[in-house]
Amino acid sequence: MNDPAFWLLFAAVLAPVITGVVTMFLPRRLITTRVATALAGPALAIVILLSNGVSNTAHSRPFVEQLNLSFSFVTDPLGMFFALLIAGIGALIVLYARGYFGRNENDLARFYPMLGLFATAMLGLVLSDNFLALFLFWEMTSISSFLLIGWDRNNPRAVRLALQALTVTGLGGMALLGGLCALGSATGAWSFSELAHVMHGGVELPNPGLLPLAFGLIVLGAGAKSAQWPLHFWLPGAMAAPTPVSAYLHSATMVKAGVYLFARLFPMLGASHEALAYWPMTLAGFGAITMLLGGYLALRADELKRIFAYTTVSQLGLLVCMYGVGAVQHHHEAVLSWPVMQILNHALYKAPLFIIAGAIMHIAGRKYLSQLSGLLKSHFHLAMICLLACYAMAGGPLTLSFIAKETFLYQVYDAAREQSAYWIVAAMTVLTAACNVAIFVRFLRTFMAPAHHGHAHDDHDHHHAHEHGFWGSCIWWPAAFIVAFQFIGGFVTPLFGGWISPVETHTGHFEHLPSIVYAFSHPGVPLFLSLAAIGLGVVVGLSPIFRTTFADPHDRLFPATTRLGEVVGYRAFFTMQTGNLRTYLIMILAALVGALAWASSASGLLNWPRVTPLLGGDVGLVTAALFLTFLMCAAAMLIPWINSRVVRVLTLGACGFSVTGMYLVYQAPDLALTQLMFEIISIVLFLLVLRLLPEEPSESRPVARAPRLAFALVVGVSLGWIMLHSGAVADQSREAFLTAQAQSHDEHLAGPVVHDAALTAHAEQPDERLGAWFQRHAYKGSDATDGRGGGGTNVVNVVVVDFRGYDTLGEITVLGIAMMGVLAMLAGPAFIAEGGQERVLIPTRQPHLRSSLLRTSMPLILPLTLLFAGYVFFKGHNEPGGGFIAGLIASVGIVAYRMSEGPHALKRLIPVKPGVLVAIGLSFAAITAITPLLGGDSVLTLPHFNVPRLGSEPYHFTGAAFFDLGVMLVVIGCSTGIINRFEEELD
Amino acid sequence: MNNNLIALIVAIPFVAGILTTATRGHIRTQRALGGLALFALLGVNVLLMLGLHGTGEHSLWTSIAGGWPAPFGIALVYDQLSGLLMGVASIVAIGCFIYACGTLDRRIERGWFHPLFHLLIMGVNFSFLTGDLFNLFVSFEIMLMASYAMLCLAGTRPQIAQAYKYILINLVGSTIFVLGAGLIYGVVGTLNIADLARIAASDNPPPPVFQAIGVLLLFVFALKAAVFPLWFWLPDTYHTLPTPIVAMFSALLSKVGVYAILRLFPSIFASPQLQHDSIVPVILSIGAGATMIIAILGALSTRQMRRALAMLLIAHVGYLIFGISVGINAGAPNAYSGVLFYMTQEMILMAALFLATGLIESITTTDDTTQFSGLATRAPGIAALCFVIAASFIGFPPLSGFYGKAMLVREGFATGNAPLAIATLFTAAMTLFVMIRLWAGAFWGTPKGPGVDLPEGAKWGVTPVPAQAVVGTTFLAGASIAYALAAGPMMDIASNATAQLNEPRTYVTAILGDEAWPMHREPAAPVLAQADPDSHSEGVH
Repeated sequence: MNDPAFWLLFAAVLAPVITGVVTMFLPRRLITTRVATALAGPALAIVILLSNGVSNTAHSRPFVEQLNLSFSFVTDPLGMFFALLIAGIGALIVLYARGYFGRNENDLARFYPMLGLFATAMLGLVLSDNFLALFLFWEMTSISSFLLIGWDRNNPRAVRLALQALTVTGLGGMALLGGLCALGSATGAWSFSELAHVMHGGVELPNPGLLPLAFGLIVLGAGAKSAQWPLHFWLPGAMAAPTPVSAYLHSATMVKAGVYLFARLFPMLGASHEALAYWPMTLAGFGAITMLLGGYLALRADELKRIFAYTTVSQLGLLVCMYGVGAVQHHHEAVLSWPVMQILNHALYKAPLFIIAGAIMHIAGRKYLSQLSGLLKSHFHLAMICLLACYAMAGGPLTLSFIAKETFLYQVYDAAREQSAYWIVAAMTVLTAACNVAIFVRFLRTFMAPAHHGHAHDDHDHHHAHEHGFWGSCIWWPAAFIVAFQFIGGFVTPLFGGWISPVETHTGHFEHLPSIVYAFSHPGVPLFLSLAAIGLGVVVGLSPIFRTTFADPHDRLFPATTRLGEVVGYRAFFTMQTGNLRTYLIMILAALVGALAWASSASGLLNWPRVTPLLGGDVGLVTAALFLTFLMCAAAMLIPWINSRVVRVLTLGACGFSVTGMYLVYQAPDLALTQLMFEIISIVLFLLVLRLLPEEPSESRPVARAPRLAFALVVGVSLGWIMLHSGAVADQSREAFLTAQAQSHDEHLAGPVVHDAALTAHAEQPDERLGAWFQRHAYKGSDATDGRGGGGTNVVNVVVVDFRGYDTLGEITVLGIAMMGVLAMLAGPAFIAEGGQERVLIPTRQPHLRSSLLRTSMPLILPLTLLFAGYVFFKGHNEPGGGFIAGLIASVGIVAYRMSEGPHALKRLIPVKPGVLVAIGLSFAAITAITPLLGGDSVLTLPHFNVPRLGSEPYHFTGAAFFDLGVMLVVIGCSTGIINRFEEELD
Repeated sequence: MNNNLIALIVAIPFVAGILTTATRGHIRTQRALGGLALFALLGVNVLLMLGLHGTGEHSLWTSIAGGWPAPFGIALVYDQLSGLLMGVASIVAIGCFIYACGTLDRRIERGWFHPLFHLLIMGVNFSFLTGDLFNLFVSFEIMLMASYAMLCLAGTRPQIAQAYKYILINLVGSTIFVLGAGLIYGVVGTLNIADLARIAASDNPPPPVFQAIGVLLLFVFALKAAVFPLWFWLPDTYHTLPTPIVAMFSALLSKVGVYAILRLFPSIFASPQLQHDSIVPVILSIGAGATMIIAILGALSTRQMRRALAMLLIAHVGYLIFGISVGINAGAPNAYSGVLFYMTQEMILMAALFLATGLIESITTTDDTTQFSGLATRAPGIAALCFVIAASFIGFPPLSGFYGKAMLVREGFATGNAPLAIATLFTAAMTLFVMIRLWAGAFWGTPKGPGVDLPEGAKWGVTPVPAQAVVGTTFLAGASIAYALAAGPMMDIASNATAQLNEPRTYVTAILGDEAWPMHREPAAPVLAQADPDSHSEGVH
């Protein structure tokens, strides 16, 4: 806010887009108002810029500081020149567009906002000092160019070319981003003014090794934007855009962005003392190739816009080449000579050429040069303007272009005297100039030839009658206005030189712009080269060679690359993405094994771990554990070899029951009980599902499983290896802990030092720390907890519902979701009746037999299991048991009841639907968890109650009971709900 | 700083899940409850974030479940990292929810969609909020179980077939996760993340097997994040699902994996003390490069929007992994800011892209852009909306995708990771090509294909585009534009989160108390301490 100059410049940059957007909201009929509004943007920008004047001070405001991105504008000569060029031509293009689109409100309503966006982007680009701000505007020009090339959006060709242009410039944009980031990292400067300071101030660069990379990426980025070979092909393609766009974006301004960047960086990277040695050669090389190629292709083209597009390519090549050659040091001085004049020169003939090409297509309805014979007679003013601009393009004497070509040749000549390789560039320049002259000669001959009697080309790109009056003339007079400057420059060169010298950046060895008089009074090699070019051009233009059209082979580059990318991409991706689960699992597990093997070798785990005796060496227990392990492994390994599904499920059950046994060996009754109940329920579930599956295939399955089994073993062994090592570590730390504890006990009186050591050992052996803490606090609290304890003597249960109740809360949620998932997948019969989905499971047609034995014993089994469940639940907090186990036990009973009694049994037993039961259970848990928040406590801070009991001490119970009840309900709801669903499928 | 209210972040979706279960069958009630819960969630997040800002740059909210002291109780931690992610997640959820209310098949919605939607959010928020490794596993399970169930909601055959693969592959991940958590407990005896960070920073480093277990966990999170070669579950699944569900999945699921890597690796398994012999940075670099390049090539090869989006999603996970590898390997302080910024804005955009695809599908009935073209003539508004979303995703400045990417590239170059930085740029350029080809293929060209070349008068093609769908998509597009406009402040939040990640001391002492931080890292000489009170943050190795 405190820098008015910043906001003023910001306003200048934003003016075109704001006025452009305003035109969107104008009523359709107000065409003149629309034009005036659109014109106001660039006009305002010019006024602000002129009032600001040339200055080297940057006005900035940070935007994203961490990224060194700030909006900063500077109106130094180069930026000022470009900004005025952009705004000036922009204003003329607004008028030209009115003539071009005529009274077509829809086209104008679409066109002006996009034009405004582009003008803003371009102004921002050339005025930005900050690297990333420049990039920001740079990308905005690419987008607006894309939208404008795809103007004719229902034409697939235009769409394709727009995509091509955006892809090439976008690729260049990414390269530029990389280049600017690398440049910033290399130099520590994030704006051009800082860069100038760093490069000329003799400051040591933080990371000079990145400079070549930065330069390479910037050349790629700027080259793509400025259509340098081999990425030039997008520019002729971009001619699918309406002619005002071609005149503005694709000749006068946007394509010069790359040149602008080279111009900007020239003093810092090209011509400074720390210059990049490869700057001149790279730029001169690419530029010269582009220049000659563009000239040749223009000569071989027939469509007007295509001819001018290729000459644009050629001229852009010349400009890039100029900044390359200019960096060659001649007598310890860069030879760059009047570069801004060169850039301006191109705009001053190329914009008129495009404008007039649009006018010819529009008024004469022809777009090919070969159809334009006799134009001089039929449309004299159009033909004259076109010929004058072409004459300028050919660099004929008495135009600014002639002087520009002379200065360029002087520059190349100076460089060639320094390094003879540049004679090649000189030769290429002569050939290019000859091409331009030949084109002029061809235009002249065609226009003067007798009238062409063929039909007007009928696919010209606008569909309305030509207007008369001022608005109608807008389609040609801007061309005449602009091209006039060519001749002012040619005739009164000193005057013109005076106009542009305030914004000129380098003057080489011409302090004043050399006039034609100077050129002829100081004849030298450049003059002769120039004359040779003219002579050669006239010969070529008159001779029949190079008459046939010739398509640029580079045009096939983009489609071919795209196609190649598609094929390669398909191969690369879909050879892996096969859709086959087994392949996926093998690749995933192979990655796991590979990573583990690498990790093991990197952390020195290849040695055999030091395993301590199991279970304290108790022979009986060890035998039991080994037996169970064997059972588990054997069952697991057997499963793939069994063909019958039922047997496979039962074998899997054997695995599970072995795990149950393992828990018993390690004295964990809670876990064993849970595992047991869980195994029962899951086997029941499995068998139910099996009944729903189609018949098993009768033929035996292929036995080619050995490799897969081997792979599975490798996976198992690598995981087991890590586990063994972890186990060894755990054993060692336990030993160390016990030793340390013993020591501290022995030497308790020895002094504080040893005590500290013991404490450290204590802290470093948290394995014991947590377990011991849980045991100490399971019932009664300590000082650390303000005397609060878990209130239960069964540590496992207290851990489950209290210390780690948050985990339990999550797990019961998982259970509830699992039930929802099953119910959703097997949507009920009513759902299917609605035609909701096809059934996933098709029940076998076998009758659903109910066991009479089960049915008879049910009156006994059900009450007993429920009673036992209740007992386990109530005892749970102090003795083995708890809500989870109780829920499983009750579920076993209920499921058995459901299986024996049929469809309506469950409803008789539990009045609510299983889903609601789960919801009730979860809400019990939720209420227990959330209520403490109201009192300012943490979630799951469980309250304690003492319920008085007759004759004995009060019964102590905690909020955990309530939580546990929720757990139980969820377990019951979930398991019965799922199994009931499957039963329903069978019924 | 203790603040028990942070548990609300999990409690709100939990309660919403229960209530919508109880009110099943009453869609209006479920929608009202759901909307209320989502906006409440966003509100609480915003208030907590503001509160956090108010208490200073490096502070974080903690609460230990059950009121027990850490590391015995389960810690919940709301720091800038988790707060930013949860805030963005709730924005995404709101957009998808609005969209879902207008477009989902009534039968799906009346089924279990509403409870599952809220429980999925609960799982995601649980993951972001927890400060405990095993609890993180539980959170993942909630999230995954909800995603399994949502995969099957419509219950068509192709969906079930893909869901089967998805579930099995993720089960492998879960198994390895619980194994890894168990081994961690066995080796160092704690699961509290702050405690683990303390141990990783202590003088007495954990045994070598600790790092191998770290690689095991990295596998799990990389699987979740869909890093090469562990992404197979993702592209096969995403083209079969209802639009709002796939939008939620794409925005949240893989990002939780990235979050877990960010949370656990820089400060624990690849902490400065351990990283000299850690292979984690190398694995991350390789994974990042391969993920970007192969996935973007895959995206090149398809013209189906959903498939292409799924592969772009994977390719851009590569950016994030690249950023993390730069941050871990070279200690570039800003790399994580780039990761965070990019990740959060991409969450919004990924969801928006899938919703936009749904909008197109609602007109054309297909997502295959070779089947139709020229949609812009019929639906210019949708064309513009989709263009904004696509351009943001491509990262055209000044839209939101640009800043994070630029930061990643810059840090990559600055730390000598030029090859991967260039791979990132290449991926970005190809993303541009793929996205614009899809957009131009759908909206430009000759109007043809189902739903497009209808006689005049049939304005929207086969089905009308539901208003809620447009509102939901526009909401997310607007959120992304707001994100871009507020790029400076958002980057500040990302930097603060990064500062916390780079300085585990804050995290550890906030949970375990001031004395818990290993003593050796305090400045040795008192003079030094006076001169620069923050010098211990640099560490003495």
